[in-house]
Amino acid sequence: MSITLDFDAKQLDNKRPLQLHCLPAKIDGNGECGNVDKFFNNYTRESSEYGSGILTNSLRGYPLLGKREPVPKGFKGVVVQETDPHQEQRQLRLTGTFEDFTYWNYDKVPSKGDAYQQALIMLDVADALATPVSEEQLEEELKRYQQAKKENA
Amino acid sequence: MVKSATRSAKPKVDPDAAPQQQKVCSIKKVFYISEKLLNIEGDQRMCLERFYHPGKGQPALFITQDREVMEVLEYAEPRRSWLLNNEVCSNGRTYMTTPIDPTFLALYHLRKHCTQRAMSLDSISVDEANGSTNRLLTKFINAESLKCVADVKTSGELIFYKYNKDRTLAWLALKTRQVVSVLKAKQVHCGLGAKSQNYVRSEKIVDENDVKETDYMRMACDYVGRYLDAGLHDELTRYLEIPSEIQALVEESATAKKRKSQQGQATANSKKIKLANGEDVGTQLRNSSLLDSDDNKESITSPPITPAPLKERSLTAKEKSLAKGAKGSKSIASFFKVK
Amino acid sequence: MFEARLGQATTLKKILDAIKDLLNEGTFDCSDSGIQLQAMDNSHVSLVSLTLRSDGFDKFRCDRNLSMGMNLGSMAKILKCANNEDNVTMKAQDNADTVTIMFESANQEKVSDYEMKLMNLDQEHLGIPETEYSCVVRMPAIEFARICRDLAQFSESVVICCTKEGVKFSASGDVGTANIKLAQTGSVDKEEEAVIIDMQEPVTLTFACRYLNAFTKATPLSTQVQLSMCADVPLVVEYAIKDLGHIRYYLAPKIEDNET
Repeated sequence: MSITLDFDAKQLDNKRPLQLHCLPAKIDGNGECGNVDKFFNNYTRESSEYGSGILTNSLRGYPLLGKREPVPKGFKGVVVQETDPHQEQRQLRLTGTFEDFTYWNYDKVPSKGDAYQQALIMLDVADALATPVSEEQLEEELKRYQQAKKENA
Repeated sequence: MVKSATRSAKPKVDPDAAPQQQKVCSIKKVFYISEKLLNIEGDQRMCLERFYHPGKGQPALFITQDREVMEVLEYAEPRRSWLLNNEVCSNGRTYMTTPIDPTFLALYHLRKHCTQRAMSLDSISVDEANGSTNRLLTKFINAESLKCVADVKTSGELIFYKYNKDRTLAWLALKTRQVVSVLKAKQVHCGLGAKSQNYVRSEKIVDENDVKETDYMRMACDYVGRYLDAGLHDELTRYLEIPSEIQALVEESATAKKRKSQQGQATANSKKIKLANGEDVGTQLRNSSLLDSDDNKESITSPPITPAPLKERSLTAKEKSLAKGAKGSKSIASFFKVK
Repeated sequence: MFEARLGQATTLKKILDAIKDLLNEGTFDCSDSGIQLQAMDNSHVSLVSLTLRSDGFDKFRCDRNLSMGMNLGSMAKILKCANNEDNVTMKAQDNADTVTIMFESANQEKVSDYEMKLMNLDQEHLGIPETEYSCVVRMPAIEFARICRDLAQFSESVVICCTKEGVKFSASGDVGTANIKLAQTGSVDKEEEAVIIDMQEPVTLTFACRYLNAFTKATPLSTQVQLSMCADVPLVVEYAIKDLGHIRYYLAPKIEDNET
């Protein structure tokens, strides 16, 4: 069982970038939600008092602190949507791409401690884990271990 | 049938997954797709598929393109949603495609089938009823890289593998060290202990002394362990000689105690100096504990104290001496007006 | 909801040490710009004014202005329970009658919280007029503490005389007289060791020595102290708290005929 991503690299370049906000709230709903520019983006302010690049806004009266986050290097940000889940051949269709987004926190200046930043560490860890180990390195490690074992014995 | 597969594909997906049937369009998803996948030449499209994930003990999502396989990591927080242009998206997750050494995925099957005898990948696939394992082993596994974890014998066209524990552990140890160097480079905090929720890791103070080699090793080993079955993870921990966290905690508190006793000595000394400084012991006593505890009681047991009884309270020696010193000075209130 | 976190408990300890000898209780007025405390000592001779700016805290949140009356002796006791490197967080709900003080050890192994009852203090706020001071002296805080301590042995009163030659502290009593003169530092190599005198008009004022000594409890907070003087106006002794704010002590001068 597999799902095909129904687009290629060329298509990505032709799309107009989407504007994304990662909100610290659970919203039980999907779809159009009126004028985001007028009711939300309009109120985004840069607040240097919290640090450089920190933005403020509010969602239903709750203060938000945000920061522009670029898509990590080496990645392309895309939004996809499944066309028809009942088809035999499941497909994800490209909705749009993005270069960066705004990460919002409720009542907390975005920092290294955020779960999102922690998740980004995983990207580097995964890279390190996937880096192949050479035959020489492996032989060396085997020798080192045998040596250590002998010394302990 | 297709539908049920969707649900199992995304465990604990939002409640909106249920009424999907009525809606034409399903929930949008935000992906970070590695440029490495996008740059692969060829007519084939990227594909999401499930392979058995040894760390999770169940099938997990991977993304494939031609002969390349990557893991799909989910970043999810309990209360997150996306705003995409003028649209709300209740699925606040971000799916990130991260590289994975498929050897990790093959390792599980080697340990399962090839500890006693050498087998070819084909015959392992036959034993596994699951079709995805067959696809994984035959399409994405690089026979060359399996040398790191197995003894390889070639007989004509066929290649046989036998799990080699020593080589595997050495290989995993090297992987762990690669992770350690990344963690160090990124200055990831990995000390012991739980953090209070509103504690924000300080970005300025990363105390070099605080972050110990074993802490890094333990964390890296835990990362590697995410791709191993529990048994192999334990073997690796022993191989790397990483003490358990409880052991480390005991050691930590022992050193802390040492520090404390030294501190105790220091304060005892400073007390002596104070006494020798000429103040008579009686005042010292009254100052330090007895009267102090009196006014303490007042404040803690009777909440909103009216100012009146406070004034009647007998004054401490310090206050008396200050009051004496105040004689002859004008009142400060005569200079500053009440607002 | 009010919440303020400082990276190091030692700063708050030092602040409490600097005010608890003069004041038994005080009201911490919290607003989104920070924390302020203003109070007179029991004898109404001196005034303590503490200002901690919100941006000096690691985290600061104050949804509604809040006044928290506290017994400073109790507060100091709670702070004694903190290690110097601990993180300290003060928390209070709007309209709460308690404040929570939480300490987190540097390695986050230990989290302790203390709840303290708040008091309803009927304190008036005094308006302090903007004053052009005739003399402003900046000097090492340790030097000032030393002078006050030394002169206290001779008299209850200290005369501070500021002229263009320098600043002179003197005291006379039964034992004899003491004079300490400080001249402006010639070359300013180290800012924290400099004596800088900014004089418009010479001033001579008399102050209660015990009070000056009480002010010097703030010495650990700052390397330098600033004395601002003007005839017939209270002396201002100011200690800056690095990156956080300042503490100012106002002391009414002694009435002249007492001195002769």
